[in-house]
This record gives sequence, structure tokens and C-alpha cells, in this order.
Amino acid sequence: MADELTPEHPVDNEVAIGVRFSALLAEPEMWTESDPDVEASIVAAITASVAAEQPDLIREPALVVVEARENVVPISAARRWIAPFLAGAAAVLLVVAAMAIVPGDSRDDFDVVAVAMGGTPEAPGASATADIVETPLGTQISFAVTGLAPAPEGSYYEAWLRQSPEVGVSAGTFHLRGGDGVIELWAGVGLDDYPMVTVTLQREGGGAASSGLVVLRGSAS
Amino acid sequence: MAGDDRSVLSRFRAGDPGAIREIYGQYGGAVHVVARSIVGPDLAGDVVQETFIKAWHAAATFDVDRGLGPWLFTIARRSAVDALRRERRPTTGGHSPEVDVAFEAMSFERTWERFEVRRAIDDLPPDERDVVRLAHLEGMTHSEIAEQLDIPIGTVKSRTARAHRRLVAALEHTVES
Repeated sequence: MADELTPEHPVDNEVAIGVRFSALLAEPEMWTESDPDVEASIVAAITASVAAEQPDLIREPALVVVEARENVVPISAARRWIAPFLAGAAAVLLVVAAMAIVPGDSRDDFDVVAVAMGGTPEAPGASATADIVETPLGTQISFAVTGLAPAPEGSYYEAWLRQSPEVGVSAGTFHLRGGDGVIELWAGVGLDDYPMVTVTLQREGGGAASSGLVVLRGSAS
Repeated sequence: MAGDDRSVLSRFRAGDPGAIREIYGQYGGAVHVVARSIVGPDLAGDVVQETFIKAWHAAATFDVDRGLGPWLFTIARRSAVDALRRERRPTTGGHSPEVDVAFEAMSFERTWERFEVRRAIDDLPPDERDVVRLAHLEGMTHSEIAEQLDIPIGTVKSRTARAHRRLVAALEHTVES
């Protein structure tokens, strides 16, 4: 390959470069496309750090509207404990991983979309509501999770925003070993392009990609 | 170049997602090559993420005269070596002192060379990149590339020549040193 690298009257330096780098040019990793999931994780982590340093930029939504099919139900300030109940009801009505979403109230600066998530056969008793707020710094996701067992030692849960089963962006990780509650996560992409929400069980040291073991699933579309 | 770096870095430091994506688009592939060369494919993604987050934290101390590439390379290599050290450290449940095990990471010079080669490839125009990839990675002849891309063989040769001139220009400094 060295001769191909120096097609026209090669000088010594060009020959040296050709010899030196031909083997590297033949290595697959030199041509591997950058991983969009890694990019999204970086964006999410940095925007979350910025938000943490400038908390006044992110406001807690005062009112959320959840729509279960045709029913629109306003949620008051007590939504933290009501939300799981509504999520469970929606899951029952829709039988499987059903979801309902809803453009939120605009009394705040940012619209809120509430996504009801149902447990998969991997976690049939689980449900959650994801309150999703698109901010100038990224997408903030508040999960109110019920009925999901704590992640076993050596594993953790990871939330994803997805375009399709193949294309997704991590929104962060959690383990629930301290009990149920509201989990605040961030993603660097929004619901317009990534309308599906999933939670997977991941193995520590198992790499950055999704394990494919989905325990909660919902959709904003 | 330094002005561009200063502008994008300023936005990067402010957490501008566009600037983060811009820097990742320019250097993500090269950082991944460094990470993979040292820690292997399983941990490479984690190291890449750690590199860019560390860079964000350290952006205030960045010396624009050094250039973004060498700066990110240094952070990437250090992150990869640390990750490798953590990975190879025996874990004993926290009851015994942790002991570093001996290991040998790929040398600074070799990883820098790989970083620069990947950067040079990423800087090629897409049509030139395609012919270089098919020639070097797939081992195709000019005729096979012409058939594969459905272009005249003369075009393959001229694109190849232009691409190689660009690669030589981009990598010359590594040989001079």
C-alpha cells in the first residue's frame, strides 16, 4: 500500500508516511462510526451538570395533565403519589405497556408531558409515570416508579428515549435499592425525535449499550 | 484555528449541546480509537464519555494555543489508563487493601499516532474517504472500487491521489518528529 500512498514522485517523507500508516489504515476501528448513544450520554451528563450549577434555569412544573386515551385528568401538587396510581390504571386499561401522554399545561415556562409506563413480562407488577420537561438545557425526566424491584447488586436500571427499538439515547441510571420514589434523570434528546421511553436492567461492566432487557415501556406517540 | 477552538470551547464550557456535539463530531472517533487501543472494546464507550465530561470540567484551564486535539488526546489517554488500572485492580469486597497490578498500556507515541491517523481520516471529504476505506480496509483494487461505487476508474485514481496527498499533509508532522 505504500506505493499507493505516494502516487506522484514520492519524496522520502511521503514514503515514510506510507509505510508507517498503511497498516493503521487497514484497521477496522479506524473506520468505525462514532456511537450516537455515547454522544447523547455526554450531552445529557454535561447539560445536567450545567443545570445543577444553575438551578434557577430549571423550574419544577406546577401542574401536569395526564391523558388516558380520551380522558384528561389534571394532577395537583400531590401528583407525586397520585401519579403511580394513574399509571397503574392506565396500564390496566391498555393491558400492556400502554401509555398515554399529554401536552402539559403552559402556566409554567416549559410544557410537561406525562407518560404512563407499564411493566413488561420481565416486571409485570411494575408501573411508572414519567413527567418529561423539555428545557433549554436538555430533557428532564422525573420517574415516579412503583412495583419495580430494586436492581440486584451488580446491576442497575437505565432509562432510554428511543426512536425505535434499534435507536435510543440513554437518559441515565438508577437502582431503587433505597425504595420506591421519584427519580430525576436527564437526556440530551427530546420527545419529538425520541418519543418512546423504556427502562432496561443493565449489568455493571456490561458496556454502554442497552442490555435489551426492558422492564418498563411507554410511548409519547 | 485557535479562534475557532476558542469560540467552540467557550460554548462547550457553557454546556451548549451544539458545541458538545460539534467537538464530539470532530474528535469522538479519534478519542474512541485511543480508548479502544488501551481498554478494549467493552470499556471504550465509558472512557469516551468520561473523557468529554472531564474535558468539560477542565475547559476553563484549556490552553487554546495547544489545540483541542492534543488536549483531548491527553485527557483520553489518561482516562483510559485509569480505567484499565481500575479494571485490573483486584476487588476483594473492601476488606483488604487494594493492590495495583502491573500492566502495560500502549505507548504514548503509538496512541498519539493512532489518534492522528483517525483524525486525518475523519477530515477527508466523504468521496475521498470512501475510496481510501475500500482500498485499505476492504483491500479492493481500483477497478473493484470503480465497480463498487459505479464511477470511472480514472475518478477512483484521482480521488485516491488527492486523498493520499491530504493524508500525507495531515500526518507529515508525526514522521518529522
